[in-house]
Amino acid sequence: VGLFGKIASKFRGLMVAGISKLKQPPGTSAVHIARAASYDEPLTDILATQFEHFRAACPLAGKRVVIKPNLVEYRPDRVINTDPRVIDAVIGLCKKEGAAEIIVAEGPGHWRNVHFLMKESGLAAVLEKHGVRFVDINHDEPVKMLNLGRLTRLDHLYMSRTVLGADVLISVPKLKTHHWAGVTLSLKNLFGTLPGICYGWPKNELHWRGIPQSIVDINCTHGPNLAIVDAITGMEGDGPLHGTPKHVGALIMGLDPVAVDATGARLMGIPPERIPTLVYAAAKRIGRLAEQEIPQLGEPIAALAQKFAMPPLVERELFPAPTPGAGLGS
Amino acid sequence: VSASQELLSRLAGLANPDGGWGYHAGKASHPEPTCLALLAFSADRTQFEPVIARGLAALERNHQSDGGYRLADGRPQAGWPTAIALFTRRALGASPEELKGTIERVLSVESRVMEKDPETTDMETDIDVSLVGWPWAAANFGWVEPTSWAVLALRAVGLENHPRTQQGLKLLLDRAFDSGGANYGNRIVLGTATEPIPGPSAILLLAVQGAVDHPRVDASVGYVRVQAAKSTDLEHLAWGRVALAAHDTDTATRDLLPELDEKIRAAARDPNTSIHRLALAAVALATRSPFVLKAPAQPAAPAPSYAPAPPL
Repeated sequence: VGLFGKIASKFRGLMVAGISKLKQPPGTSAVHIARAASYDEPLTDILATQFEHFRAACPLAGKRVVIKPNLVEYRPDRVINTDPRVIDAVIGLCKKEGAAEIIVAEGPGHWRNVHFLMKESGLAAVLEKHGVRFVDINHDEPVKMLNLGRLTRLDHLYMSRTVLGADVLISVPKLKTHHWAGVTLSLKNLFGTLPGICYGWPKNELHWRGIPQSIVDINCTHGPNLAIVDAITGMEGDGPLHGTPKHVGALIMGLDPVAVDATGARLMGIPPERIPTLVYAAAKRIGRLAEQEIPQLGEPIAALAQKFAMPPLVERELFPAPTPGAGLGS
Repeated sequence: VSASQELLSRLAGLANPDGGWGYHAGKASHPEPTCLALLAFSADRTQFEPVIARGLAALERNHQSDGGYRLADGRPQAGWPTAIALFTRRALGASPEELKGTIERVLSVESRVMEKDPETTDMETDIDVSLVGWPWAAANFGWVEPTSWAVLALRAVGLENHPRTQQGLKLLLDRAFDSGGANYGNRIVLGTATEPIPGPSAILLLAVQGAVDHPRVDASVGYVRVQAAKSTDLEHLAWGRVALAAHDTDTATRDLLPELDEKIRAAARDPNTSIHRLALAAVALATRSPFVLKAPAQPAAPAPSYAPAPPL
């Protein structure tokens, strides 16, 4: 990077800082929690009831919708991925609402062979049933975007053309603990919107730059319009790959991904103020973190909250507990 | 018409107007699927000469002034296709002299070495993080897949004994599991062992073929053989087939190859097969694999010296 490059980078940084100051948090940070005891419940109907609260602000009718599940790695004995039955229900919701086009897109960070993951996980069968197209983001056309977060100090991010072309991007993560990020929810899920052909397998550059910082930059640059969390069975302990199943029995929905993720963290018994990603995201006005600023719809958090076991070494990744004795559970 | 010929004809028909191939039909050309398609055609250069010429011209549009290859309008740091392009051009007959700039580019790229970090103590005691290999993108850690391609390409152009090739081989052995196979690079993350993955394991085997004699190589052949035998996934089958063809010194491996050929033929019949996977299938079914390096002048050398990893 020559002198001109440094000056250009500085200028871009100032421009982004200006844009950030003008950014307003989402109009509503309401989050809906619905009970869904198992994956055999009528999940589309449950989602449709939840969506009543969000349709006005985020209509799906006539829209090109891209659904981003969390498909990481397939191990038959573990609950690593968003359950395909939840994706089935989200597609059902989009169809019911009259979406013009529905695409499911994913760019796993570990496995290049996403076709294998799709087939083995059962997602391919769901898409075939609905006649919905899948896009492998890792090998999708990259588009150079001005990084509107700049926490990583990267001037640009290369994002998937398919994701950027969506009228509505729906992030559909699974409720999980994460050994580096603390939790992995709708914000972290967007790691998979950056093509592997630009960042590799894993997306090593983003790890070096800081996982929370990278997550926030991605979401500042192109975040989700709607977040739906598969919290029917989550993962506790050594997530995101080696943890154990934890039944919660809920679906979480909202337009503000920070509020949705903060609610997810609270459902896991984790103070969201301890999760760097959520704190940085709130500071960047991607959404709201404070419980009193998040109108709670549906079930109260306390009715379904569980104490999730945390990854063994995660304490060093988190902000300190706000008060003595407020450390994480087992 | 042989299955291989049929796949090659399908591939030829899927070329973009610019002569290259994208990962999927109708998508913009990218150096990697273009190279895999060209490697598939390398087994039948006479019949597909015009297709190869157009493909090489498309590949050259991604040739950078520094000698490297990357998607022309992609992320500048993502130079990992350089080694694949070098290997491909060599397989299609380019001489090391013609490839000088690209060879120098491959040799100039070094992966980032990790510094001591309390968060990665477990990794540092498991693998040798001081080894320099090749990253996916500039200034990143050395991973199995790009390092394997670089080693393979450097060996193909006659740089078997170059210190970078030797250190690359050392890195690959360092990252392989004692029980066989490799993950993308780490064997342990925060105290938990990772698991091998078929694709990178197969590419690692291609890179080390005939160069080192080590129990981890034997174990990796066993891992890839078991995975391929039970798989129905075209990509896993094809990578497994090309890797095993380069390590077919035992009866169990040789006996499996016809069965894999049949499974690859069956899986590739799907008309929706992506170009990337179709090219791999065609390479796997080729009568002469471009991935089998010529026999080295000397017998396989012992593994480069390195401290064996402690038990997990």
